[in-house]
Amino acid sequence: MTPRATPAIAGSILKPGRLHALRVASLPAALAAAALLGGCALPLGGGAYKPQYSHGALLGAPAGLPARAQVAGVPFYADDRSYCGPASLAAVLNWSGADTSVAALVPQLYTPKLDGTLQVDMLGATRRAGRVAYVLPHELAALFAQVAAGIPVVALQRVGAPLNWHFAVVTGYDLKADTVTLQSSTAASLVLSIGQFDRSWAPGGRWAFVALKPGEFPAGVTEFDYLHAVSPLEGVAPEAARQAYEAAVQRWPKAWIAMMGLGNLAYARKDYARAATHFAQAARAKPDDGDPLNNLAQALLAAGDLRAARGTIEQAVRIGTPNPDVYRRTQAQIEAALQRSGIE
Amino acid sequence: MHAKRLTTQLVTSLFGLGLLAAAPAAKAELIGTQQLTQQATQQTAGAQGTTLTQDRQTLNQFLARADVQRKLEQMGLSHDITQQRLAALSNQEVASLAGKIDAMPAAGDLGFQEMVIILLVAILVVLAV
Repeated sequence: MTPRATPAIAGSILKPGRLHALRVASLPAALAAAALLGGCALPLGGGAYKPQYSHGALLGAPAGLPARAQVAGVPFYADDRSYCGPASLAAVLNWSGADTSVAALVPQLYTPKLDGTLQVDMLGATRRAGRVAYVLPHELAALFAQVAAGIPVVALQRVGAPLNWHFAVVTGYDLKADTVTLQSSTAASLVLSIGQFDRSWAPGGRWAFVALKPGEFPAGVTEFDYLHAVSPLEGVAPEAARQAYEAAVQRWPKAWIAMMGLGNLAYARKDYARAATHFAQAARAKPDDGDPLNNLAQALLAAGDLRAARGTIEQAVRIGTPNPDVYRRTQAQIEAALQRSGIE
Repeated sequence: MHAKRLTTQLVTSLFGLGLLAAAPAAKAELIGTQQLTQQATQQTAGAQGTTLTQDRQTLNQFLARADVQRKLEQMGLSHDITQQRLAALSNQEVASLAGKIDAMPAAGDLGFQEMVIILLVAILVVLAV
């Protein structure tokens, strides 16, 4: 309960060496947690280790994946303390053309009492830097595909003695020579066998992500997965989100969710006319769905075009899917506005 | 005191992020982009189990518990850190968290306190050095 207990509890769970600092009342809980983590049974992971590479063969390798690749020009920031998060992120953000530094990222990423960096904060800081944080499919083939496309990857590993969580940047691989090259801690170029790397990567659920400038795409990404990665940018970096949605519409001309994103961004800026244009475009690209029409009706309502709003929401209610309750509430709102305005 | 302030801050920031489903009747209801990507995720996963609103309620109820508040504080999760983390939560991250909370009572003979700590460490506080 006292502030002094804070680092003891958090630290001991992740660093068994500090267990002596625990307060008695918290001991059973901390032991249970330590056992769980130490036993390699993270709720998200689980199951026995299944190798994804053996003797030059890579499970699920995409067609045309080169036998080796190395990303050149990734800045390296050595770290011999607990700043693997800031160091790794600074490397990939600056590689992507952002202008940041380890020192600038430490306040966003490093939590002193926990002596480390939270996983989700890595994604959050990427988004705040105006970059798209795309968590990769959890397989070696997907990771190597990024490297082959010239994109460095931040990977979560479980390494060291005692075992600890660690972020590193994967910059290269070689299927024939059986190597993975990383920037890690103080090593600008650490070479592991693919099996060694994969066994360190598997305990965290093979979690890895790339940080990309809007307009650049992860290798092999689907339209939907890309938009899923872009949408959380709307709140923290709206201009970057807008650029990413525009790029998505360029690449996938029928990307109606990207059009919805552009409309939602315009609506948030109170540019209702532009929002209506984007929502109408989305409605044309996805005519069997009520959602674009609902948003179009809201934009028209906000712009004061009540009659057009009414006609539009009637269409949405007729389609009736996938959010009929929302459409009916929008309709009631428009009818109330019509009554107030004396049109009815 | 401090715990109470943290509760207020959490609830305030959740409202600020639109994580709490409490839209007054007069408020404009737009379908958010994250909601669209979430819907499609659930469709491709083949399971339409819980709705976003239910996920948010689950998370909200969990975070509103006094014992959870205390644990967060003990973890050294300050107002700023909590806000940063919440700001980084996408709707899907909320859904994943809510799923873990729902699964909690089935986790065997550990007490609630233990489960809270494990949950926070494993999901909110996976950290790397």
